[in-house]
Amino acid sequence: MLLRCLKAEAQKCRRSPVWLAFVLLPIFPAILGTGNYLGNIEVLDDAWYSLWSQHTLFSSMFFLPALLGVFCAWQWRLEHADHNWNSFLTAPAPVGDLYAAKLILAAVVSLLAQVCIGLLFLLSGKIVGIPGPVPPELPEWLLCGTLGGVSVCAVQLFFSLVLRAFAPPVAFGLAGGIVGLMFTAQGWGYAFPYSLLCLGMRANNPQMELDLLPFVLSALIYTVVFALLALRYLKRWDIAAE
Amino acid sequence: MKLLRLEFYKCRRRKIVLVCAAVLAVELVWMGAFFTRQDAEDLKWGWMLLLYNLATVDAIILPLSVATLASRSCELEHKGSTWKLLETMASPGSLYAAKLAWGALVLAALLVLRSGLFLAVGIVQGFQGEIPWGRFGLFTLISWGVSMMVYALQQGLSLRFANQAAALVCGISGSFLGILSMLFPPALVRCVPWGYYGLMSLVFMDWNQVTRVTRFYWRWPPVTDVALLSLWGAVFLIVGRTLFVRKEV
Repeated sequence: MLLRCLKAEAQKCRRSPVWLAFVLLPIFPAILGTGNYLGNIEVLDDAWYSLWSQHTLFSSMFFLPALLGVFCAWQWRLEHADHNWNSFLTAPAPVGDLYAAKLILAAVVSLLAQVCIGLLFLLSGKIVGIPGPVPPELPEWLLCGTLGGVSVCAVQLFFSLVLRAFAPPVAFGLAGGIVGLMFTAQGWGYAFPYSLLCLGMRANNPQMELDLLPFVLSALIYTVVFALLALRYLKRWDIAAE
Repeated sequence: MKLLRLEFYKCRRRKIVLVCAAVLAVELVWMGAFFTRQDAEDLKWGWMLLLYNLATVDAIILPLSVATLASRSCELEHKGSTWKLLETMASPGSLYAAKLAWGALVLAALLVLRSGLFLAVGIVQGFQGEIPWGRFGLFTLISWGVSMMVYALQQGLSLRFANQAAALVCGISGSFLGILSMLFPPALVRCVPWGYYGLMSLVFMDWNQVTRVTRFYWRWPPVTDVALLSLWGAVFLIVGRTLFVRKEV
């Protein structure tokens, strides 16, 4: 049933240009990050690692959480509009599967964003002609970034479900990213979902040793807690179709 | 005037106050976190440091906040499919003007309140020097002017596309380019609409590479930048209005 729900969700996305944002928008931070790297090359002497910090510093804090917020808000917008709640909740499928399909799709988009960021990073490095091999940690950065992104998606999906509006949850995503920056600066990054995204990507410090256990545990807890909250809302609240 | 009153009426349960309160809260938290990390040497710049950082924070937060407000005002018409009904009673041009005037008033209230709040923070903290009332007023006016230019762009997008993702993605790009444009060469900053938050700042920083001393100084925004800002605003307004007026409902 989950597979069918997933297929239905994928079908809803067909012909929608929303995925384009995840492919095109990372080009900005890539160009700007590379430009900044070239402009400060005498200070940034750690080749690929310095380039990574320039590419991801701002994007993981302000840009990605809000962008993931757009996708999550868009997913629920489909249900909020055109009386779709009626057919969504009366579909012969468990609510858990319906929700899981949305979360899985958001996770796929989070992975897509990371793959784009990774490819742009490699491309920029090659164009600039950075010597030495590509950091072997790159797949790990991207995977941990995806995992952090999934916990952000779980939070955003919950707020987009409850708030029933498009813009406020997206603004909430940006605010979350900014507060996450403060949590990371205080050393409490593992305790906040929006910080997990930049911690996972090692945005500020590519050489940082990530404490994998608390990281995975925290991402898992946030994902599960917000998924359960969303399910509780879906089961308990009367969803009056608009 | 009636249409403008109706705009406020339509938005009475749309939690606009909550959105504005969230914007103020994020700005306050950000500035609070920033000022607690400064040492006594930096704090002696007081008001200048406040206005310099407020312009930076604006460049990050306001583009998406403005996009959110514009989207809140325009989304309700798409959701309720009200265009056919509305446009049989009022001209599309006057509807566009009413929505823009609503945005102008909300943004003015938000930014005046924001300035009052930070003035109070500065006075309570006992920042050195005379309180720059005039400059705070001018800063509020500039923030409002830049925000209105961005609002014209966002309203155009929110009205044109029923799917608000387009407008919000533009808002996110704006927030991102707003902060990053501070690293651009000066000529390029003028080509980025969201870069005007930083470009029109009343305080600039001068960092001496040799002595490693940071110095802040007051400056007036050049007339050419004010003219360019007006030009951007006019272009967004005319294009957005034309697209809306000619749209088939």
